[in-house]
Parts: sequence; structure tokens; C-alpha cells
Amino acid sequence: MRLGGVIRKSLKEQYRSFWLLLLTVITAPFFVLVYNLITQSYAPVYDIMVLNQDEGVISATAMPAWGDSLIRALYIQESKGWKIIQVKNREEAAAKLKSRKADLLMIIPDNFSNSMSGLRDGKPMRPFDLEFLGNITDINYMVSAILSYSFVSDFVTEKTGIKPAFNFIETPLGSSGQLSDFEMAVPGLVIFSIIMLMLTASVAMIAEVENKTMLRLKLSRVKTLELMGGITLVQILVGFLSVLFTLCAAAALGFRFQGSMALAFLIVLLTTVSIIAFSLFIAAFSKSVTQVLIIGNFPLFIFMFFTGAMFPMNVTPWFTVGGYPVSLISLMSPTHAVSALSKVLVMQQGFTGVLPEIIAILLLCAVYFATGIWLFRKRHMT
Amino acid sequence: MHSNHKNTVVISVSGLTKRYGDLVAVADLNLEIYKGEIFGFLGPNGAGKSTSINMICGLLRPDAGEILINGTSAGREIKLRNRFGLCPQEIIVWPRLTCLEQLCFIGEMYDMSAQDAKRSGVSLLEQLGLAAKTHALAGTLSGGMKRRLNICLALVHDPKVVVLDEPEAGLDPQSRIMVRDFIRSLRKNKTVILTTHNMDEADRLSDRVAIIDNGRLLLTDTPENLKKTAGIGDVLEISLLSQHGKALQEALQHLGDMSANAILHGECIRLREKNAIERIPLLTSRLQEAGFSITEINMRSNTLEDVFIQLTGKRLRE
Repeated sequence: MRLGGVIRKSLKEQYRSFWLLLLTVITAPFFVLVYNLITQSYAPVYDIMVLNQDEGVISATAMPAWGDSLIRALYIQESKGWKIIQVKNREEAAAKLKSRKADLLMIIPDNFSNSMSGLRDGKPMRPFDLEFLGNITDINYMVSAILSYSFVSDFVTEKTGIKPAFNFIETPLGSSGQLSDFEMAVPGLVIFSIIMLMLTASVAMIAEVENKTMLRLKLSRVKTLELMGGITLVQILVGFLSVLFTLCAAAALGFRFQGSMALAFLIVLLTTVSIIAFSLFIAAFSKSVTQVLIIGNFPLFIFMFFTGAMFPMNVTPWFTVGGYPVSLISLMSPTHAVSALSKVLVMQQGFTGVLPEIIAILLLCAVYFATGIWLFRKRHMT
Repeated sequence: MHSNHKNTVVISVSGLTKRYGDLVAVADLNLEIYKGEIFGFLGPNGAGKSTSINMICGLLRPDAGEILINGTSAGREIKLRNRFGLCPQEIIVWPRLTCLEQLCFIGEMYDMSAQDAKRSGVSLLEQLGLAAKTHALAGTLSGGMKRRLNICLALVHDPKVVVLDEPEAGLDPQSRIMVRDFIRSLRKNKTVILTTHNMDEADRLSDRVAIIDNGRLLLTDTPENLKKTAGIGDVLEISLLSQHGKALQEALQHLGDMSANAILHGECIRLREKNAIERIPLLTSRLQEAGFSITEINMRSNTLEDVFIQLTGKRLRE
């Protein structure tokens, strides 16, 4: 059987390219290791500058300085993930912010103590202005601002005895409250490892063209579907191995598998097939390994950065199908894979919960394969 | 030589033309190839031999003309393409497969059973002196061995028509003899099309030779008949050194009645004479008296290169 012959040949060539195979299979596990080392050694600490302009409360008996009290409380609670830096003036603070030596400047106003005393005594007071300065596009600023606002709000409530207007209760969905930074990144890293297969699969496909052995195959009875199907199946196996090693590496580094493993595996397998099918496009437009690396970088870049594999993507949908949003990034299978894996591994959703994503990936597989094989045949086999 | 003019026509080509922009690679090619013959395409590099072959094999679409394979129009029919075994000029092998593995693979691609492909592969490797390399990776073979493997890959599926493009290129003398004997043995049940710019290869192997230059077919006949067209008599080649500043062109003037048959090629006078050996003393004395030193004298029969020179005015390797 011709397909069987192609598969056997591709397998032999693949395991005889030992170093290339090794590189393909261990790249993603290596990324997992590196990411783990980075997140383990890095516990985020936010540098919060405080400028205390509080004038205290002038009274006949005492001068409570609530500004100093707040700062002391901030220091005591530094284990919550911030480091307090006191500054003397706004200009000094602005300079540090601009040179990224701090994340946030919090300015305690001059009427802070007055307001606090008034609130303690039950007097109606004009709200004091608690000013924050920082780069609002910087995620460190955002987190620092949330932490600082929350702390000051709790401080004021506790010290003045005023009752809050509502109770804030947070309930993590699924296992989202239990996951570490590393564990949250693993689904994306797995999808990333699959995306990386795009280039190696294209290289395997283009080898026949570059070595000119395609000439012999063109003269034979082998059909494009049989040839590319056989090569693709072997690449799927390589991809499968890569994903397996990635998951093993993640597990060895402490990743706890939540949700249905079988479902997660199915999603990963389908995504692997779709990426290798997409590789046919790159192979169709290339004639050598060099061209694969040049041409392939463009879709690789798009798949890595615009599917949610590396960081979240929020895109306005064009339309919905049965409630499932469809947008430009829906044309890339990893978009659906990232969504599906998050649902399974974080939200512990079942098969019906990820059915739209699975259907989307299957559809894209079919389209990638059909179009890829047609293009490859047109450009290299006729 | 074996002539098959009364045999079945396997390949018939009429009006075959191929253009690349303004360049006409093959112009109005007409020929017939008979069953069981070794048919040679002889011509210099760029003459259109490989282009003609690629069109006949179905790898290149002609711009005009028709190709009939056993009476059926070839077009781009895959089934007809399968009847060919092509040994290209370039060595095309799979470097990470062993010799036997790739023969079996190609056999399977032609729908041979694994057993038949293996049997055929083993036999071919033995016939072409590669039995010891059956399980060696093709990438580890020497250039000559790869070329022989190249030939094996063209034959593993037992095609009825075998196309060999410069099959002896890069082979050592011993391997050349082995390959030539092998090619001759193919005549029993196959038709062989041989392309070469080596006149010796074409002369020794071919039943008929087609001489091609600049995309045009100049002449087709048996090597013997072609050589007769170059002229009667032997060819004398006398290499000269000029002394006293004389131009070599002057040497022709001193040949007397023999100058009409003589031409100067670089430092060599070539002339054709009946009973040439008897004329040598007279020739040498005249040239020496005229002040020319003779460095070498060769006498030989007509070759296909003589035919080519007569047809085109240039050598095969220019």
C-alpha cells in the first residue's frame, strides 16, 4: 500500500535525523522548565512610593498623625507583596517612576488626619483626595494601584469604624483560585509547543522538493494525498511525542492536572493535526528549507501572538454561531484550543462545554488539509 | 550493432516544441523509437536533450507537437508516465534511506508488492556491483556508487522504457564498463533512451543515434551510417609547434594537394585521406621543411564527433 510505504519511509528518515527530532521534541519541555525557573525565582514585589503631605490634626490635646499611622501599617504589611519607599517630594518620585525604579506614587493629602478624625467622630466630611501617579499602561502600576487602594480602604474602615456600603465576596471558579502562575501558563505553553511544530513539519514536507526526489515520486503512481498524508501522519506522531514530553515536564515541575485529562488530550491532539495541516501551506509556497524558515516565520508569529497562546486576546466578534463568537482570530485553530484548554483545565468543563471549540478545530483541520494538499499538488507535483 | 527498424514503434514524436520565452529549447522534433533498441540522443550541453526527454516522459508540457506511447497520445496521463524509468543526470537518492530501502520504497510507489520490490532491488544492486552496500545509507556512498544506485532506482519497477540521462558521468573506468554491459543487457526486454554528450558512449551503446544541436534534430541513423557521412578515409591529426614566428595557419599552405581536405583546429591540423598511413612521411617532411615542429601524429577512423563537426562546424564540447 502506497500510504503505508510513505509512512514507513518517513518514520525511518525521521528517527535517522536524530538531532532534528530531539530538538523538535524537547523545545517545548525546555520552555516549560525555563518558565518554571523564572516563575519560581520571581515572587512579584511592587515598589510603592509614598509622599506624606498630611498635616495632622491640630487640637488642644494631641496631634494624631494618621498619615504616619497609615505608612506604619503599610510597612508592617509588606509581606502582602509590596515594598514601601518614602519620598520627600513629587519631582523626586516622578523621576523614579519615569526610570521605572518604582511602580506607583501614592500621595497622602494634607487633610488626611483631619478627615480621619472627623470620620471617627461621626462628622459629615468632604472626601479626601488620595492621588496615585504612575504609568497606567504598565501592569505593575495596575496591580500596585489595586493593592494600595484596597489597603487604604480597609485601613480607613477599620480605624474610623464606619460600616462599608457592601461586603465584597470573591468566589474563584473551578480551580482558578488554587493555580500558581506556572500552572496558569501551562495550557498556553502546551499550545505554544504545538505551534512550534509548524516549521519542523513544513521542513519534512519540503525535503522531497529540495532533494529533488519529488521527480521520482511524480513519475510514480503515488498521489499527493497519499504522499502528504503519510508525511503528515508521521509529523503528528512527532507532535504527539512533543506534547507528551511537555506535559510530563510540567507534571514533574509541579503542575497538577485538573479536569478531564482525556478531553485535554483530545484537544491537544486535534490542535496538533490542525497545525501540521497548516504546514502544508508553508510547504506549498517553499522550495527549500531556507524558504520554509523565511516564509514560515510570518504565520508562526501570527499564531504565537494573536491566538491567546502567549497572552490573552480580546477581539470584537464579527458574528456568533450558536452563541460562539467568530472573529478574525477564529481562523487560527490555536485560538479555539487555548479557549478549550482553559475551560477544561481551569474551569473543569466537560465535553459539551468545549464542543463548539472542538467543532471549530475540526472544521479548520478539514479546510487546512483540503486547501493545503490542493496547493501543494499544484505547485510541486504537476 | 542491433537494428530494429522493422520492430514496433514504442515512442513516436512529431512536431515537438518547447520554448522558454524567446529561447527555443526544442524545435519541431520528429522521431520514432523502436521496441528493444538503445536509442541515443547525442549533443552538446544545452542542445535540448534533457528537455526532449522530459517532454517524452511527461514531466514537461510541450508547447506544440504530439507524443504517442505505443500508439496512445501521452498528454499528461499518469498511467503512461508510469511506464518510464528515468535515471536523471543529477543523482537523486534519499540520503537517509539504505540502498535497499529506497528501492523497495520506489517499487511500492509503483504498486509492486513488498516482496517483489525487495527481490528486484536485491537483483539490481547485485548487477550493478552494489551488493555490499545493500544496507548502507545512500548518503554514505561514494559518487560513483550513488550514480549506480541512481540507475537502479530507474529500473526497480521493471519499466518497459528506460531513460538514462548521462548514465556514465562521474564513473571510474571499471564502473563504466559494468554500466555499459548492464545497459546492453537491458535490450532483451526493454527500450532504452540514452542521452549523452559523450560520443564514445553513444557510439558504443546505441543502435541508433539522434544528433541534436540548438534544439534541432540534425540527423538520425545507426552510428556506422552516421560516421560514413563524415567522409571516406582515415583521419590524420597532426599537432604542431611554430618556430621562427610563423603563424600555424601557414602550415596548411605547405600540404600541397592534401590541403583541400585539411582544417586547422587550434594547434592541430586535421585531414582526411585514403591510405593515410602512406601519406605520413610526405606530410611530415613538408611541414618540417616549412619550419614547423611536429609534436604528435594521430590516425583514426571517423567518429561521431567528426559527424557533429561536419554538421555544425564545432566540437561536441565547445
